[in-house]
Amino acid sequence: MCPAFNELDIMEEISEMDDNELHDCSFGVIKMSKDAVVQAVNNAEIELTGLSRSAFIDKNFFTQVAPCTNNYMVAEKYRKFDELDETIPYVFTYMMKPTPVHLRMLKSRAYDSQYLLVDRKDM
Amino acid sequence: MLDSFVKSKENEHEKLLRFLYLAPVALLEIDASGNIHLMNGYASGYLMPLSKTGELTNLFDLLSETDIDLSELVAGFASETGTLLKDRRLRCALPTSNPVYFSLTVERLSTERYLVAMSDITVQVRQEERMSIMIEQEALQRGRAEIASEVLHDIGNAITGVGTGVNRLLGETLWPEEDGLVRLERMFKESYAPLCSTLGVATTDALLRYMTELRATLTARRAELNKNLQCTAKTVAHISEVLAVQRKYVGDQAEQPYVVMPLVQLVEDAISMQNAALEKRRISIRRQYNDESASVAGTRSGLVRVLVNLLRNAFESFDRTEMAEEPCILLETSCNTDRTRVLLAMSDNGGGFTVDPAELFELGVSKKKNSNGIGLFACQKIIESHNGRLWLTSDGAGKGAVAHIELPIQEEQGT
Repeated sequence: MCPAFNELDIMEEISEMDDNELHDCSFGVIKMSKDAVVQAVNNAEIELTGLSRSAFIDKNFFTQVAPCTNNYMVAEKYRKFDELDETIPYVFTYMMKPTPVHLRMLKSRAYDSQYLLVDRKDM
Repeated sequence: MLDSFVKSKENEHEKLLRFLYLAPVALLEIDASGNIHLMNGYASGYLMPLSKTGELTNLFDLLSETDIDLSELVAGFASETGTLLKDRRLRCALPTSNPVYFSLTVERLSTERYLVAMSDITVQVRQEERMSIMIEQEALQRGRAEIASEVLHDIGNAITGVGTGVNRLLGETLWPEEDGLVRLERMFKESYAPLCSTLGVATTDALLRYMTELRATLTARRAELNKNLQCTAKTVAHISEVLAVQRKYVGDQAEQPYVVMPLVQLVEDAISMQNAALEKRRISIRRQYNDESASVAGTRSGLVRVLVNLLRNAFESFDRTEMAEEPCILLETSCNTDRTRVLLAMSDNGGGFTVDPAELFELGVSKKKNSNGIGLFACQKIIESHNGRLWLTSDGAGKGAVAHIELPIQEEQGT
């Protein structure tokens, strides 16, 4: 059972889910190593982007998958902070169309992976 | 068969999408009102920091606080297709960091469609700014050099006049007044008996004694004056030497010729330029030159400027520090095993530093008050332009610092 996008302790819950269970989430989930290499991506994110899973896995998320996040608003925060749980409005470019989303950036010393959750505003 | 065709089309579509999405330039399609219809990943990455609402809907709004009025340009463009803007520099102020710069190109594709391309040129602009500061500093330096050259020329002329006068005085070995007194004294002694019978013994003795003392005083004064004149001549010669060294460096500011010279000679020239400051601060210089003949090729004024700058940094470190021991600078030179590079280590026992040494070489960074932070930045650039390296080390606050310079050895012509 996937927690809600806004759930308070989502990091704890989502980190206990295996890669298949991430598909239960209606919002996009990108699981990365601490150096931003994508370890898993769920079906919701695949459908949103129109990209295949291979376009994500083992790639650096900020430079090779989503350069739109490679700025101080997103990538820099992951680099700068060891503890991170922040939600910001953002615009992704799914299929080259500007798409308003909410991004929830999650990182904790307690877990080996970090997460980026993507919730489309119009969904 | 159909599945395979569909799959192939999907792959091509994804490839195209990835190509556009990852193209390292921001691409947008907007309409005549600035509304964004298509954009790639870099466009979102560049524009999101400019968005106050967290949305990217209208490019004119997003760029409203920049130095280009895009809506006016679009409204005023009469041709149905064509280039509105080509590589125009766009400055964008950001709320939380330094301004960023983009190169902006806008192409009208049809009545309602415009293609916008933006690339981030912030790094190039920063480099241009640094170059501009360097050029300004260089111009300032040249201006100062010209003034200094004129001042040194005038002082040199005055000093030559003083030197000539002193040497003329020194050349006058005997004063005629003193010579006259010696002869008068001798005549008195030879005519002692007749003088005594005429003037009386007491008066003759008094006159003779007075004459002897007057002659002795005059001789002593002449000797004292000669001694002082010799000291003055030495001082004048020293000032002339210092002026000659200074004029040598000020003089070649304009042309900056490459010459081959021993590194130790450059170090000694730099020290002689700073002699007054060394004496004023009572700083002792220790030398440990392990290879005095190792020569380097370069601009004399450039390399001496670096050495003078490093010496001054050491002086100012002493000024900032409460010294428990006498201030001292140790200069060591050595060569690597195959004698291709010479190393100079300039160690001081001043305040040292705790920051990352690399930070000290950044433009605009300085530990000193009233400093623009160009000194070390310029020094490093000068040494690097001579295929060398300059770096600093310190064991920490109060533990002194070492400036290391490594340069390639150049054999002097004819050796």
